[in-house]
Amino acid sequence: MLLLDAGNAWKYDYGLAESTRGRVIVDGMNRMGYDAMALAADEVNLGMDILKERLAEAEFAVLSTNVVFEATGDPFLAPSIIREMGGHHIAIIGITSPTVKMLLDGRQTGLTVVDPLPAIQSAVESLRDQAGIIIILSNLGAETDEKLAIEIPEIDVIIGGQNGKIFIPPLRPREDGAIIAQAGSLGKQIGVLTLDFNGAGDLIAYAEEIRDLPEEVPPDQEMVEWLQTYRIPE
Amino acid sequence: MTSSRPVRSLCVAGLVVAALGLLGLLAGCIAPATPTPTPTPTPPPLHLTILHTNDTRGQTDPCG
Repeated sequence: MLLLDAGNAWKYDYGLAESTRGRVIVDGMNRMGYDAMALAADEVNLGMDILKERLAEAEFAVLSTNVVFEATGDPFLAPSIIREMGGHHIAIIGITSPTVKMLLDGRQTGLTVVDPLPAIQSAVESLRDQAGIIIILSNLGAETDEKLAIEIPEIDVIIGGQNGKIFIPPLRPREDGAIIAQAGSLGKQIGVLTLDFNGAGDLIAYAEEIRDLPEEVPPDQEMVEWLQTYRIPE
Repeated sequence: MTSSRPVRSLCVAGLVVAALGLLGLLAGCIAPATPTPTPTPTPPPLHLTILHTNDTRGQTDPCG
């Protein structure tokens, strides 16, 4: 099983998230066992100093293949990771919305966002010999995700976001291309995507369920007790 | 008895052919064998579950 996030998770404008500058969110994601997330606008909006603190605390991969240093073109974060499961090598690639460029420019970070489509194309090409299954974590929005799915048929799954939409069944704009999943927003839903691949790594069947939180998934007692250890300053 | 020239030429030619044949045999014996590539086994089918979230925006408590 993989636990993945498409980005825009680290935001602090009220409550515990605000008082801990997002630390409680990363701590919670660590405890839940996230495997990877994509860097998005909310993460960048923390400011670079706080973002770097949160990145250092994350025990999961935070990915972006198209946020790069302006001077060198080198990626700011790891573009991808590879997981081996059941004899298959699965590449997980992160892609960041170009709207983040404005945030980066405004903060004089020395970073910029390059065009996502060629960045993904290049990442997929470079992983061709290393992974038979390709998953994209995307906060580009569903419209751009559909374009990715049509133009890069090597992609198997796009875990998307940005729109707060729910796709049941997942979108599949191209018959031999990627499926696109999205699971609402604001922690009110979680997507449960089940996939069947043949030995060659071709996607042959898939299904999506969206579980409402907390109606369908009651709070975990251990997590509740852990959350109570955080205090909101008076 | 002294051999005639044509017979001597035939004998030399025969020796050369035999020598070349022997060299060929030796080359075959000492040349490294080309390894037979081992086919990469195809993995079994994979059933994968992905739990996924997006845009949770710092909501630590969906109950409010």
